[in-house]
Amino acid sequence: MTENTARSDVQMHSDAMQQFLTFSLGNEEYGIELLKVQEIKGYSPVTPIPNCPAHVKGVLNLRGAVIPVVDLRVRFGMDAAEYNKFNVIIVTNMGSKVVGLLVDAVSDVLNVGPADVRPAPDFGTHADTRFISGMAACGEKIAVLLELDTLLVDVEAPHEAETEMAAKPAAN
Amino acid sequence: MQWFKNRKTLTKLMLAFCLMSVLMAVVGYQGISAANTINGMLTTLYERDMTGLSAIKDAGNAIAHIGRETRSGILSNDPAEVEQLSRTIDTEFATVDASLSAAEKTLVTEETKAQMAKVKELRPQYEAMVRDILRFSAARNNKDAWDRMQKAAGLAHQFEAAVKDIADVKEKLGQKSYEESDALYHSLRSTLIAVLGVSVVLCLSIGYFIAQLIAKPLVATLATLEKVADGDLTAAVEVNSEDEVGTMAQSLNRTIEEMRRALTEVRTSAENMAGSSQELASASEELASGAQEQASSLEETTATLEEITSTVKQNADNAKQANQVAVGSRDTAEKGGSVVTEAVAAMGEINEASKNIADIITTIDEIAFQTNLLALNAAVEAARAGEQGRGFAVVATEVRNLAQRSATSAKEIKRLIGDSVRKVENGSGLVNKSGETLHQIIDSVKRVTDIVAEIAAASREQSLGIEQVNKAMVQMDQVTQTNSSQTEELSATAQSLATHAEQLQVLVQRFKVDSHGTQRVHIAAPVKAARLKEKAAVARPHVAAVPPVAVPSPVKPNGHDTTADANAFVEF
Repeated sequence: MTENTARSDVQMHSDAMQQFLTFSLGNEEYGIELLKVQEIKGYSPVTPIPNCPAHVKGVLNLRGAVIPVVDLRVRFGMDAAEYNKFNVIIVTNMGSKVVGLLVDAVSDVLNVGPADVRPAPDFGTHADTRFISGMAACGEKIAVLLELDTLLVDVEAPHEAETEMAAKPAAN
Repeated sequence: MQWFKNRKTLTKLMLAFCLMSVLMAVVGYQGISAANTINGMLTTLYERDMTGLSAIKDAGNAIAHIGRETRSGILSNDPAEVEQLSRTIDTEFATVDASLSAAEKTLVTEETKAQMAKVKELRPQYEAMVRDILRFSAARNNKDAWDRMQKAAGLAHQFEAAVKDIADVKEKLGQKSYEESDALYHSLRSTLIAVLGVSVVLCLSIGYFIAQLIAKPLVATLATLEKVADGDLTAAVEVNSEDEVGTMAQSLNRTIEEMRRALTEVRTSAENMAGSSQELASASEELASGAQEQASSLEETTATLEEITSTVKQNADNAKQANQVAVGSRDTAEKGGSVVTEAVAAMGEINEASKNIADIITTIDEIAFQTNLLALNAAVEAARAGEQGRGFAVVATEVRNLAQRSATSAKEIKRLIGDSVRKVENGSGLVNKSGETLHQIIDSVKRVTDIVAEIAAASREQSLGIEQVNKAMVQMDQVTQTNSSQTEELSATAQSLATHAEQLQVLVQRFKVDSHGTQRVHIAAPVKAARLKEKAAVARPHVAAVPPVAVPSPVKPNGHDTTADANAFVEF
């Protein structure tokens, strides 16, 4: 399926519902647009790359493709935590780049209507306000919806090396 | 007189003897001079009278011989014989001459001298006559010879008579001398007797006087000595001269004084001694009572010792029991320990199993997780697929539900397993604790065993100590015995000392040293030390040797009873 189709479908739905994939980081729930999620992987060992920003944990070999993995905890300034096989790497595909997000766990797929999205208050979470697109109720918890583009805007370093590899379409 | 009295006895005696010697000398002199006189007379008698007489007589004899030989010559017919006779007559004449000259020397009176002259005058005539006769005889002229002799007869007679006269006179003179000496002897004898008598009287009186001088003080001294011998030391001798006897009397006085002083001191000492012996007797009595107390203390100590011995024995028995109990406890604890070990092993197995289950559960959980992820992926794809993917989304949702349920169940199981593991761990912890407790028990038991061993050792030492105390007690008992017998001896000695002191006092009493009488210190009754010995003897049987206490040997940690050390201890 083409991106366009997907997008249009989404737009169709965006008027009614948007689907977010919620994941947890520490005690907080975050959400990202489901359509941007390429796949969800279990934790695999990440190869660290020197001279990377701190939040870039390294790179990962994803069926031949080398993708950078961002440690969201570091990104959000949280304390680092032990990573085990129950951690999840959410492979996000934003068209131009594919980035893996290292999170604690994946929770659910949320169908969120626009009425459920609240604007983010300027306190309370580790995530910088720029990243937050809003907040939604997720069961009893509030999930902070993240804006991926802004989140991953500066994930550049291995990008150049990867761009050539990403030239092969990440088709699935 | 005092001067004489003060001379030494030697001097006195020497003076007396000098006087006596003088008297003796006088007497002697008298005697000697008398003897001298008589001797002179005798000498005169002899030399003058007897010798002369003898010479005269010899001359007479010789003349007689001459006459005889002349006659023989006349009678003889042998001219040789006549010749020989002539020579003989010559010899006789020589003899006559010699005798006459010898006699002449002794003549002193005129009468005799005249007679000698006459003899001398006649002699040559006689000799001529004789010669003539001889000549005639030799010439064998006997007739002429005989005639001549007839003529010469008167001459011969004269000659002989003259000689004889001298002899007679001499005899008379001798007799006179004898009578003179006899008279002299008698007078001298009287004189001597008189002198002797006077001397004797004088000597006796001097001797008596001097003897008195010497003897009287001596007698006085003797009397004083007698008094002293009788015990009166207040006597003294009167000293009235400075000779040896006087000084002796002085010395005697001093001696008596010294003796008196000494005896006074002795008396004082005797009194003191009597007092001291009394004190000694009382001290001895105290000593005896002290020894008595000691004996009774010994009895008490012995009784206490027996009690201690029994206590120690009890201790030892208790220690033995404690040991046994400790050993039992240790065995039980060890059994418990082994049970604990088994329990721990069982729990370990449970843990193993739980771990296995947990692993499996983990696997299941992972599977659930992966399934979830896959379902999520599916949901993502489904969402991407839009309408077409709706059914797929439902399926994915169902799968996710299932995965959820699976995960939930797995979680539940995990929780249960966790619980179980926790419980097992608890149990394990408890078991470990009990194991530890058992170890502690074992340690305690070991400590108890050690302590019991120490108790045993201490009991042993106690036993030894008691034995030593026993020995000491026996020694003390012996010493007490010795003490009591010594005290007895002491009291006996004190008694005898008191007796001697009394005797001494009695002895000293005899002597009178001062005017007032003396007090005798009475000695107290002798000490009753005999009682003590009985008491000590009573104490003795109790101090029998306390038998050594049997003591358990220490139990070694390895659980085997070791053999008891030391000789006298019973093995358990």
